[in-house]
Amino acid sequence: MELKELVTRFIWLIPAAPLAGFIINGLWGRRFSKNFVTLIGCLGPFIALLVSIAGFRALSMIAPAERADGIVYTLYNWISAGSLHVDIQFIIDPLSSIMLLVVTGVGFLIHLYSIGYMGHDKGYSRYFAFLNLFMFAMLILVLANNLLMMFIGWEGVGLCSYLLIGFWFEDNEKASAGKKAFIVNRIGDFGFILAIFLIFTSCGTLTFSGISEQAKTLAPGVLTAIAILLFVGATGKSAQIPLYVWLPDAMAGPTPVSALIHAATMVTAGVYMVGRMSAIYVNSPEALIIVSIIGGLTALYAATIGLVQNDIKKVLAYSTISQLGYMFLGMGVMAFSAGIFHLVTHAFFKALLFLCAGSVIHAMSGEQDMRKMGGLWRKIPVTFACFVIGAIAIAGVPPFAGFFSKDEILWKTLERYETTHAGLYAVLWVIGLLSALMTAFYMFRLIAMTFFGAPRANEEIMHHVHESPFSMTSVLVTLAILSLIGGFIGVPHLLGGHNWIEGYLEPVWAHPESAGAVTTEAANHSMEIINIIVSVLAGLAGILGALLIYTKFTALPAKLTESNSGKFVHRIVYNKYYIDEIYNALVIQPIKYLSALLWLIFDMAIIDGGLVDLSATLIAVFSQLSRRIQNGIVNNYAMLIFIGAILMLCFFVAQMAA
Amino acid sequence: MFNPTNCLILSILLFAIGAYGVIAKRNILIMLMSVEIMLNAANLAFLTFARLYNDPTAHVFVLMNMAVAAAEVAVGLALLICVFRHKKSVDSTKLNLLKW
Amino acid sequence: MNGFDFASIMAISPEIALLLTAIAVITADICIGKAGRKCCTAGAACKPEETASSTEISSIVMPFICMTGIAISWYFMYNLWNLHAVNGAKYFSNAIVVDKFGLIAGFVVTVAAFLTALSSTGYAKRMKIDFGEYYGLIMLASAGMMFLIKGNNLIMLFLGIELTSLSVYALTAISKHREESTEAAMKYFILGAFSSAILLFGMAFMYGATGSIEFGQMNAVPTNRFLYFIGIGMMLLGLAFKIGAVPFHMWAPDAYQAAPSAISSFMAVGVKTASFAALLRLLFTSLIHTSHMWYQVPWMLAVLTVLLGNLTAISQTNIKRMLAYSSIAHTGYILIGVTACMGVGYSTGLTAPMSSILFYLAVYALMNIGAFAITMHLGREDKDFDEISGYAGLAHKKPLLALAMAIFMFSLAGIPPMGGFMAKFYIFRSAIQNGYIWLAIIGIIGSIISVYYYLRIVVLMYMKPAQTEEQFESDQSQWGLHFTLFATAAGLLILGLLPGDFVQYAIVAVKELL
Repeated sequence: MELKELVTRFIWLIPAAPLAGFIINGLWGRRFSKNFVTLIGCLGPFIALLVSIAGFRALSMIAPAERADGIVYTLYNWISAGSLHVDIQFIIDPLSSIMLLVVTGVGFLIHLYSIGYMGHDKGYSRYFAFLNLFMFAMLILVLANNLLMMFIGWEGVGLCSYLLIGFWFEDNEKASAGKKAFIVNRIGDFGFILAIFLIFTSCGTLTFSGISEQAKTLAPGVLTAIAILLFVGATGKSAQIPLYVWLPDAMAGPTPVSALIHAATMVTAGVYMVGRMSAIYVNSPEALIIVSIIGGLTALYAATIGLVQNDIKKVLAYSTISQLGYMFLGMGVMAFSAGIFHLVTHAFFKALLFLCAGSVIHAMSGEQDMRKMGGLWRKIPVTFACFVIGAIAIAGVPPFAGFFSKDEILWKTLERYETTHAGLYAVLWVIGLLSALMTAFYMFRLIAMTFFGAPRANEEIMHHVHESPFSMTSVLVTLAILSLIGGFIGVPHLLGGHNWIEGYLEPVWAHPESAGAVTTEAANHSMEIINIIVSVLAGLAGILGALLIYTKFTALPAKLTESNSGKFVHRIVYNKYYIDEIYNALVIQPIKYLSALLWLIFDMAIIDGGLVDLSATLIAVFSQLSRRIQNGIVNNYAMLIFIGAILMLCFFVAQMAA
Repeated sequence: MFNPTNCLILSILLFAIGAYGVIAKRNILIMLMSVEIMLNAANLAFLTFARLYNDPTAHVFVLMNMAVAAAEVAVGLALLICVFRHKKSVDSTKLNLLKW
Repeated sequence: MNGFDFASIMAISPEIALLLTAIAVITADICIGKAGRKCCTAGAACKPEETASSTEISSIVMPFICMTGIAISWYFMYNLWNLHAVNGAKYFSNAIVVDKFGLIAGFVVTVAAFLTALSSTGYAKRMKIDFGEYYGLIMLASAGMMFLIKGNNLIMLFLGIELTSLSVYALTAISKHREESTEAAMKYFILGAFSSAILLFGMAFMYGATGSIEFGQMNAVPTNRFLYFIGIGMMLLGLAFKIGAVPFHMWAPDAYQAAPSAISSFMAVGVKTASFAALLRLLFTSLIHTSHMWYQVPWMLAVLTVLLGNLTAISQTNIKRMLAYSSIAHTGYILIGVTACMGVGYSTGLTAPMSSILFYLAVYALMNIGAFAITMHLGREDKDFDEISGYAGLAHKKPLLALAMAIFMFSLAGIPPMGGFMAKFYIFRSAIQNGYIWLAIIGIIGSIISVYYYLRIVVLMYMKPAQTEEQFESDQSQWGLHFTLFATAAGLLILGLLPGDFVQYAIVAVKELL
């Protein structure tokens, strides 16, 4: 109990420590020496990590039945206006404790990595300040105990993402990538904020526990509307169809930023939020179906694009979108634990992959095009080894982390096959399997193109290729170990494990009114075994296929894309199905024309010409008139007071008469 | 003997005279005196009611008012001297630097 | 409790502390301030270095005596706050009441006095003001405001108003070598005395109608409605004059413009807070039960005040005069809150408007003191920096100062996330809740108009070039002002971002009054 009290007292340190780092480095960073900036920049996340670990420990000591209530700390009575009462309140419950460990753990590692990666950048202190600010916002998002605070964190991470994507703002393209991310996210946020309003008007509260209690009593239509609006917010932040377009462009930021924000933490906020709102979702089957369909489609769709990209970070970006789709698929089939499990393992191996990619880019003097790489594995063996571990993990080969989580999601999807909408879930399962195959394929295509074969870069660059400094490789190795063993927190019962994470998270989730699955244990087991075998086979097939095609039969891809039909498909996929262009033609251009038209009609003609000018003139005239009352003669002032008195008395006399 | 209505009418008259003085007179000294008349009109009203209700508190109030009025006059005259040093006049319409 | 026992003395201990401080300041002035004073006013015969050092010493010592005194009075107020037994208790034959409402309002007033003293450390010397009178009068005025807030009968109300007003008249004229200062003080005095007389006359009629001068006792059904209504009308007029409601506002622009900025802000904040507190106390202890018959009066006053204040502020060229009209407009917003308390079935729904008024007064204190402090900071010799056009280009020369000014202007205009926004939000919301939708709409229209003249200053500071190179150079050390500016700006942000607890305090306070 002592630890719990201690943690309760110091929860505020978790967001406050990075915030302090941001303030110190942001205000005076340029005056400090580089070492001091590093110290301040890394200390904040480190303190947050320590407190998070303590929080996790304290929570584990609480009896499982009471864990769902979590450790709550009210920092401040924030807004109390009539029926709206919002506290600044932090909560550590199983869900947020897991998320905290991921965010602070991976975040801290990426801070360490950045020391080496950003070492020569002139915006070093600014970079660390922004990174710390991001940590602060993300931790607020995670620790929030009500929707409004979560929204503040949600907006905060969006802002930091914008700042960090456009970190090298001298480059116009990078600055506009930042803007794109910001604007697309606004669309999602609009949905989120509408959902908040709707929740407040229907539930009368914004705290998560309050919403959970009220959710069952809401009308189905309202529930579905809330759930879908929330999901619109999630599609923006977590880059799902149709709002995923900003994430590939967001790769313009520094690579550690891509690893931290656009792979491990911020983009998973949508998944986290859906998990938090599980009470809403389980009561709205329609919304769940939408979530799972969007998730599945995104997983497949992004994987196909990933197959043909040549930019090393773009491949990883589409892979991230695809994996996020997996998580939403898991959420959509009510496998909330599996979704969060995949979030955790994905944070490990995707951060690892991004950081390895950063190490490669670092070694290649900034080159990102895989067609200009090749034959690197001898020169940067540590990076290579770590990358392979990450790739195997994402491909879903046991016993690496990705296998367990991905398998869990696929299995839960398949399990739903027994309930209603059988066809739908079967299709989703196949889609998931196909995406797994493709994931394995493009990851190993990436490895083959980058590390194997003959070097395609010029002598000059190849001469400079070197392994990254210890501060970077040590982080890579740590993450590689995590990717290797991370899956053991969720080994399914079938394979002799305890699926610890599912049991740990279970108290957090809401449960639907009517339990769905009624299949027998035996049937389940055989199905589960089939599922495991098929998914492992898919992963292995993808790996082998990619390795064969891109090392032995190197002419094959070229031949395929040369052929008439192949060329057509390749062009479409390579250009990301022309979605950016379609959005541009269908959405952006019409809005531009419409706004120009409106500007001409309303702003110029009516508002500027009529209302604004007229009212401004009128007000100015009145103002000149009213100041004349004050004519400087004190007797007149007294007269006015007296007239006021007389009028007042007249009123009272009239009242008396009435 | 004691007729509260008459006393009140007298007090209202005094008040009106004072108010007229403040509004119509241009000599600041006379304006100050008019204010004193108004204050005393109020005092008279107080005393009338005090007599009516046979209540000593209002007498206390009136005593306080007299002290306050004295202090007020002191401040007022001091300000008037300041003004006179600058303007060489006690005409209220000459005080017209500040307007609008 | 009627006697002069210990509890009674403790009940007015904050006021006693302030009065003793006033005496201490004047004594100190006699002991150390004389030489410097002579030099300031008469020049000539004294040795320059001796007088200079003497002035230097007293310019630091005097405000410190004041601040210490205020800190002591805070300590006493804190004690009273914690003594739950005395909440709402009455002392001195029910002349003084101690409750949380009064303590919070008193705290706002003393914070204003504290910041005024703090910001005057270098300022009073630069303005060639006599320290003894200056600080002594500030303390006396604060004590008057405290009595006004705590007073529980008409005598205390009147005495509090007079003690405050007489000190403030003199403070307005404190730069007596400046013609407009004396002129403004004279006008203020004539009008103030006039309105005091009307107030006193109203009190007499009120007494005549109800037979008592004690707040709790006056809510008996009036024996004579004629006397009663004339009494209410005239008392309202007297208080409306003190808070600067249209059409009784004419003194405010002159006095605020001509007085030294430190005094202008102290007047605007202190007098307004104390008068509103007294008005609220009077209303809710004595007048509320008939308010359904005359709530139209504050309604009308609020509308006139919001509209005229904001409209006239637009065409001002002097920032202090503009702030004076803006302060009139803010009086209007608060009057909206006052109106929201009335007419409706009282005792329900009064907490929200009343607590929002207290919150508004606190926020208004910070933003107004801050804005006036800027004009003090930039001023040179014995002038304040009060030409609006002079602010052009400030952001390029003094970015931090311009930032602070922008915070004050945004807050005054009621733009989030500043305290001014939350304050207006609470006021207008309570008006809407209690059914005064039109009043809230007029208030919002008024604040939309106000955006124009507040943001004009921000635009000038940030988007226009400076007129001359050296116009923003100040010659004095200004640490007191720096601290004031920082404290007010930070306070506004805190009140804007984290209003919850402060509103809770206000709610606790007003619940005791109801």
